[in-house]
Amino acid sequence: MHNRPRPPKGLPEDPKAVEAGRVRLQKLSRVCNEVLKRVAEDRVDEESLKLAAALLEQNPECYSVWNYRRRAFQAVLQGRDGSAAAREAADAELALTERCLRRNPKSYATWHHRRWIIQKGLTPLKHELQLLGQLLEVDSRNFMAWAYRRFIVALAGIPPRDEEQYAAGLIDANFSNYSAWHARTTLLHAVHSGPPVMSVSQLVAGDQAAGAGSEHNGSGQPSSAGASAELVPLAALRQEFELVHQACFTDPEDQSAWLNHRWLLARTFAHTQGPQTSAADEGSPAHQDLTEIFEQEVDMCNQLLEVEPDRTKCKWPLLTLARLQEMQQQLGLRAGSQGSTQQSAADIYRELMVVDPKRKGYYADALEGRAHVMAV
Amino acid sequence: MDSEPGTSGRLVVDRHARYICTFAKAVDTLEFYLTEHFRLSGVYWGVTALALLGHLHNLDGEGIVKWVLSCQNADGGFGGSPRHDSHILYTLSAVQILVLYDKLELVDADQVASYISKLQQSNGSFIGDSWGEVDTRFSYVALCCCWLLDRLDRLNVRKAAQYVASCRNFDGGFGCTPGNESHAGQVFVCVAALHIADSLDLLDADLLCWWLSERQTAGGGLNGRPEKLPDVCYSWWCLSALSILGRLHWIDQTALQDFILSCQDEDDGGISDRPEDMVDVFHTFFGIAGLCLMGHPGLKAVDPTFALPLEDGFAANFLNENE
Repeated sequence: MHNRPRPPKGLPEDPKAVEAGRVRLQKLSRVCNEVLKRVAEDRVDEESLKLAAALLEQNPECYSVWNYRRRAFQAVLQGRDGSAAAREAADAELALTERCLRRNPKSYATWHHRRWIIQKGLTPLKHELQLLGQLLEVDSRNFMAWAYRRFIVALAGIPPRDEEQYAAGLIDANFSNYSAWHARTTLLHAVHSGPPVMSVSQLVAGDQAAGAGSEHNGSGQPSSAGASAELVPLAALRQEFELVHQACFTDPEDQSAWLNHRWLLARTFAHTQGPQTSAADEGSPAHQDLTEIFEQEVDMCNQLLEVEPDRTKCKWPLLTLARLQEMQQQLGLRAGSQGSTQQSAADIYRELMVVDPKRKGYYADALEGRAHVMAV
Repeated sequence: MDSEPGTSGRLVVDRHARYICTFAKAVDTLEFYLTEHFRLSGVYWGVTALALLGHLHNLDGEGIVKWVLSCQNADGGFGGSPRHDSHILYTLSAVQILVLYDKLELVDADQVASYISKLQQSNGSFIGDSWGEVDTRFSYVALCCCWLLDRLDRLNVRKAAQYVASCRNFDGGFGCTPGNESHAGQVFVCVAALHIADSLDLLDADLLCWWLSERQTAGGGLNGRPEKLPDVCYSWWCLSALSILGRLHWIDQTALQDFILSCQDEDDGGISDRPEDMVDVFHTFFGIAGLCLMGHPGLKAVDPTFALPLEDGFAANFLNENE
């Protein structure tokens, strides 16, 4: 069981706990048997729906009972004209799912039922954002809440800029929020250029169409929603680097920011690839920009290495430095900075095999040129 | 073997087998009612773990097969137990159990494949049942199920693969739908789905596997996302993907095996998410299957894509014939 401590052994069982368990079993089995019987008989009345709700509040993943409720309400909810009965039913289902989610915020079946109700278009979306705000405050990494948030954001037509600021606020509060860092990677392109990666209508259609993103480009390699293949302007990347630096200096061992940093480096490097980019041409402003960014990142790593004498705590700046050197070499850039550590990438990988032995196999492959994580 | 004193640090094979058999027989407990809706998956985890431990004969296979068949509904799909509606997740569990017992001929493969193929959407994705939830888990389930049924041609495999690829993120991992955060469980289903679809070229193996190697925490256990606690189930989710992509050596397998062993209940059998937590059949299966992928002594080999035994069994013969 997730997060439930093993009961101590060899102790006599607490008779009160045994009795409480017996009572709970009796109650649950009775409700469960009764509800499933009525579901099988397709019996829809106030009492049956109430019993079903009681069971779901105890056991929200019991999907067949949610199916039963959807069958029961399907007809009345079709009233898109917003009839009172339809709105009432939708509100009651939202209230039930809200109670279930507050008890168990990671229930696929409950989130799906809520989405199904919302798709009927009978209820305002403002409350959804409030509820999400509360649930993400309790657990800012709840990926089901995040997924639902993306659905609501698209449905409500909230601009990417607002979502980017929401994610920035969460990162400000806690640099270790990988979910918020991830969110930024999906928004950056839309904020700084062009339309969002997914259109609102695709999401409104209820995810059933959301994957159409794969058909955006005709090539065999579909662009991924998060790491959009389009170039992010270098100026935007510079801003992102600044944000990531703050996180790296605050806690140099937290991987959330560093994983984002790798992506930023790869997106920067991408400016040297492809047909229309000028960053590959020496002397172009873009090329100068790129050279500067790489040197600045080398400096950042060196600064971190200088303030931390314990090399076992330097894994991330070391690894980043090795990758930067590889990229600089590939582009024929002078390894810029005159930092105190002038190790070659190979030397750094050898050191990493010692300071981070769990991933020795990866470093060995990287050293031999068999592992490339900066591919565009 | 487990009657010897001092089992510390060793896999208590017989006790795990006994624990699973006890679980299978307990039908009047709180746990039974709370898990009834996904019991078919519970049975799959239990019997596959037993097979990997070399103890499949400890349970009444005939009775299990009969019960599995009783979970099938008129639409061709299977519910999580006889009182539940069909869902793609439990349809795969049913097919896996039948493969394990070499009884696949007892279902109408065309009918089951037809249930699955109707769930594919025009963009290649799959819904879990007629109520429309979309998730890359269902893409894996559909591809896996139809492959086992030898009915892959009933699906639009290329579109299925493209949808999965559209869920790829900045870190090389995959989420449940496009734009959603990477998660090691989702990585397993997406990698295995692309493997079955013969489309591994749609992922970035180096980047993804490096991200997976970073799931290993200081104590040796693996987590499912950055900065989260380790959990035994990721021994399967991460390792199967690393194994399919040929990069198991990117993590410290000795440290991971020690972590899994430290999560055993050495007295009563079973494995938990973390040391000293309550055991359950889910973590028992994923812990054992993870050990199998690392070649832990005394266990059968497991197929990282289909999550079925690869040695000495019906499933093994089946997988080897169809490969």
